[in-house]
Amino acid sequence: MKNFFSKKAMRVVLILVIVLAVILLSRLIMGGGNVVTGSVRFITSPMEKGLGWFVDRLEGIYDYMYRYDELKAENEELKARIKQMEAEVRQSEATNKENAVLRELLNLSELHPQFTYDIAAITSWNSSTWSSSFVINRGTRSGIELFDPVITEEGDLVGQVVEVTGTSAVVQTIIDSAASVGAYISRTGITAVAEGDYFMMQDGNLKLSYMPDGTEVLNGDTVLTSGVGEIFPPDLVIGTIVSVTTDESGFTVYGIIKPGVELSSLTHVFIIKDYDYTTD
Amino acid sequence: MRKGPVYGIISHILIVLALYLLQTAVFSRLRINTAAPLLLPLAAVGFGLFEGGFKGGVWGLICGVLCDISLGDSGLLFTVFLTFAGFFTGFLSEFFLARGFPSYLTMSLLTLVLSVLLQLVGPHFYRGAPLAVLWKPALIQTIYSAIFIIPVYYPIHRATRASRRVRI
Repeated sequence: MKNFFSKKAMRVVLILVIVLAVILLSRLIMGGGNVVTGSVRFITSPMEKGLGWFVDRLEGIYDYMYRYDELKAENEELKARIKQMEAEVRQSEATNKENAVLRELLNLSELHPQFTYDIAAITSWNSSTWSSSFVINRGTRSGIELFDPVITEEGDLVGQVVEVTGTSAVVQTIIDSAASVGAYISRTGITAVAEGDYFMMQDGNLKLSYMPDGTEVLNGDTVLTSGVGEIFPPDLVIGTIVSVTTDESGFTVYGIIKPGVELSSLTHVFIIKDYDYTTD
Repeated sequence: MRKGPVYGIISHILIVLALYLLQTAVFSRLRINTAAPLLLPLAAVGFGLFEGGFKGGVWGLICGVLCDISLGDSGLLFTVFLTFAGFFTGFLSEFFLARGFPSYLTMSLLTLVLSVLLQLVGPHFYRGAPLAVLWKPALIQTIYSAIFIIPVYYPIHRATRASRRVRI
């Protein structure tokens, strides 16, 4: 009897302690409400979650096995829709680009009504280390002629046509060592010559030479075309002075011009086929 | 199946075309300072080395014409020079040079150095640019071009395999 009590009573006490502990824990964790429901849920919810995860996986496998064709068809349909949307985006991008180019052309025409333009795309850059030139997709059939000036949509000078065929032309940029442009400093009106130089070409710059003695040149001065020689129209932006220095002899002062145009990012240019000399 | 002469010509044309496009459309925009690599001289040397003087001269001429078009400012310099380079490499390979990578490397480096020296003639002697200004881009161009010796060697070696077999 004593033995019975000791064994049975201990078991009962142990069970009661566990039940009470569960109830207390469930109350603590899950809050108020029905004690029985709360306790049951406290115990079963982790199992339910585990089972749910397992069933989800099983459903996935089931879907894969039995709804494979359906999913495949859906996948293909989605792929086709993505392709269609990508094509629409591409079309939209192309249209936007075209719009931008036409807008630039319109702005340019408003800015310089005296010019007759044509727009051209750059097809390739010449691969010489010793010169800076590129090929455009316009030639004599589009009315392009030798020495036609080439500018950007903002009216910045890019260079001039130095070779022309029926459907293409080579444009020598202003930083090319053979390039030479009549120029003046907009702040003072003093004329000089902007010319390419092998050394400065390596940094994408050009040189402002043949300035009169005592010329005051400051960093940041804007250099424009003078129109002398009637190859380049006047008042096109060549660039800005970034440095003033003297040559090796120490007697001749020259300025270093950073071009107004970022040559490496050019994709299309405007060729001035004709301009009215009398307007400016 | 034995590959016929048409296959050889097509593979040669494809190699030359690929190098021209890489030189003109790709690496002319991927410059180091102002230097862009020359790839077509490597083809002229390769064809000369593996196919002998005559074919080397012919393919050198084609590479030279394309190189002059690609450079835009060299007149007929490379048309003449690469014809000569292809022929001369072929001539040497027929009598003195082993037809392998060491010979190709040596002749390619020599051709690249001569190419850049020839390109300096105009700027230095006719336009008065000092060598102190010109040496840096010249060196970069030579090294930049030399990087392509190994990638160009393998397709040329493969494309000229048929010619080598016939010669042996």
